[in-house]
Amino acid sequence: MPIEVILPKVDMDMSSGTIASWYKSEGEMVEEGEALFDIETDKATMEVESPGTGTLHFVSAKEGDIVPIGQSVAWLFAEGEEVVEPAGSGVSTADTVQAAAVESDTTEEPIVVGSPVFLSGTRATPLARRVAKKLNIDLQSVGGSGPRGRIVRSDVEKAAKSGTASPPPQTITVGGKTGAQKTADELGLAYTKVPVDRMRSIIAARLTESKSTVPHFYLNADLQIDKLLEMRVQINLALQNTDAKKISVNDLLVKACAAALKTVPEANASWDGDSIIKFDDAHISVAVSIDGGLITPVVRNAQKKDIQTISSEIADLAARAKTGKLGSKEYQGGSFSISNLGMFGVKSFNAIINPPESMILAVGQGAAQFVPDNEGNPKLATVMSVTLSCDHRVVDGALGAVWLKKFKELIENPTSLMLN
Amino acid sequence: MNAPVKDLGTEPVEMSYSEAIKDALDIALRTDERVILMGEDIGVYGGAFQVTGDLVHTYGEDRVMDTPISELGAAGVAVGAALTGLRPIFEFQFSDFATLAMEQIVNQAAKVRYMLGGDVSVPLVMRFPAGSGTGAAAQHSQSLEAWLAHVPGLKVIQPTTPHDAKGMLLAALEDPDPVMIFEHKLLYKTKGMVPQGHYTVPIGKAHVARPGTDVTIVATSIMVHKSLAAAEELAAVGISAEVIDLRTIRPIDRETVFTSVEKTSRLVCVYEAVKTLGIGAEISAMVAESHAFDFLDAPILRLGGTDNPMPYNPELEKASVPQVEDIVSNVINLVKGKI
Repeated sequence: MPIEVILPKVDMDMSSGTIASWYKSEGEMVEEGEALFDIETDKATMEVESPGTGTLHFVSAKEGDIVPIGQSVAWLFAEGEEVVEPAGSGVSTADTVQAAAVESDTTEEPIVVGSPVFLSGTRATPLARRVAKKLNIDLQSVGGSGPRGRIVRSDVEKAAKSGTASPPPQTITVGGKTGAQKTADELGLAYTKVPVDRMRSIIAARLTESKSTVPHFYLNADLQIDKLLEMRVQINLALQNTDAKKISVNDLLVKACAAALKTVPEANASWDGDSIIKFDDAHISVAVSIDGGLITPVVRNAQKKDIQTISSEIADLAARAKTGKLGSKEYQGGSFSISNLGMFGVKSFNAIINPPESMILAVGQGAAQFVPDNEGNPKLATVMSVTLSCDHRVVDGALGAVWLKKFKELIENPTSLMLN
Repeated sequence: MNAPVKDLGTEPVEMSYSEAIKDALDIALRTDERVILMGEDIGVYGGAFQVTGDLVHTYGEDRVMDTPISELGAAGVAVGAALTGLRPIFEFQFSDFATLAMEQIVNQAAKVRYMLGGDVSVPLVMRFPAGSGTGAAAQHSQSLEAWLAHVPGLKVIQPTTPHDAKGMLLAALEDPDPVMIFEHKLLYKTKGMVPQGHYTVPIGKAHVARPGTDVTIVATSIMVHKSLAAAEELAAVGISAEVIDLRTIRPIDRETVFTSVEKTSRLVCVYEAVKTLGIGAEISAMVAESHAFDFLDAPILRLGGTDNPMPYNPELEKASVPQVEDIVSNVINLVKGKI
């Protein structure tokens, strides 16, 4: 019996993956455990090992193909085994269906593009398909917990409950172009059409979901950061003759966020449909800009870590994020996010919550300005504007304000950040 | 001759499976003069499994007939007797010997009504002691019920309790066409409450032996008892198994199976006969072809006998048919999504 090579589930929320590159080619001998191909998930690239030893045949997914988890991508034949194409090999994904639909530009008849509930490439039980249809859920957006990624009823119901599933694609007109493209064509405007890659589509989906389903409200505050900057100078001076990397303002902000969450634990929580999940520790997601998008690696248990540890962890996570080498657990499961655009000269901004977290802190540039001193005289200070975005289902206005007040105290009197 | 006289059932009494069959035979012989018993050593010896007991002393050798050791000839006589208006009940010493009488069963009993335009019928009942577990080796331990169930014109039943053994035998006697009864040899000693007097249990109707919600186990014959024991163990680990005693394998009660699958979304077929091309294949296909398919949340599982002649060695014999622990482990794997 030939061994089927399937696209494995390597990431918790993964329903499909992109074949980034093949290490082996058709007809090549592969040992069990050898690297076979790279799979690109939402935010990272993973190496997939060969499930057995044999010669690689019937590779049905080429580099760049998006394949649902559990689908066959190739077969391995043992030595001496007759190489006959096994039943069920061959790729059939939403993408191929959609591509075919877009290419056939000759008819204007409306058709349903790849009603995914019936896609042959998705492994799902008949009941799962039935329930998905009833709940209007796209099986492609559901992860399967069964053998080889098979989707069963409970997977569909879980996805529906958690709101992670998306509805099936709607009816569109073949050859139908998007609004922007259509207008540009009509007006004869020059443009370049750039296909959306996986990360961009995930960012689009997640943030659309966040902005349209999470009730945001925003709290602003101006922080005087002179003492913080002074402390940073002192720390870095102390580190001058050591191997340790200098700490940044951002590292101190992460530490302050964690410390504030420790003091206001009610705010360290997530909305979970019929309950609120309160985290015991502060897991701070740090937005890192990478090629083509952004990713939010998590500093775990940040309230328990000293500034140097936080600093070196962020440096490591950011470096690996830029080369796509983060494991899925390293960018999932945060309880709070921080996004800093101060280095771009941005004064202040409102960030979109990173679900399922319920708060994100948007940090602007620290700039010199006059503020009144105790006697009412102008005093030059470095002022940084921050905006806290809150999910009102979990964090009420007063709670958000209490957290922000604590954060402000910590930043303006930063000595306590040195204590764990 | 007159149609059978029915006694009204009275208070149930405990009796064994073989006693229940004998009780049915006694009622049939007493109330219907057309009924005759035929078989090897069923008279003075009382039958290979002592089912017919001393009936010969009550009803005489004209009605409880020892036949020569020629299943083909005797079965032919039974078919002829049925055609002339009698109600023969034919006992095979071992169901394995059905092979010797296949011409009479398959080509004559099953076909005569059709060949003669429905003008005649063959009201014949045949009893087949079947199954393994007695150390009787390869030629005396088979489960050949699916062979006969493959033949249009035959009804095939497998009662599993003393209650059903009696009631289904009496129902078979009322059927104008041939009915084949497969009785598992290990069931003869099992006991249960049985109503006295005449009553029937309909052919073609399955029985939900234990209700459940997580998985449907469709079982036949002795596997019903093993499945019930398995269901008990499964309940201890939080799995609610519905056990269906199929009772009739031709015609199958499709609706009871479909209704159960709609409820549980998982199906396991358990039978002692060799798994390949067995009754489980029929049930699986039947569900896959029906609306119940849409309710499946896992693959259909068949647990049947292994593909080998039944070994004499008791350990190998045991290993050749599904046991309670096999049912338990396979159902757990199915329900936990490992299959």
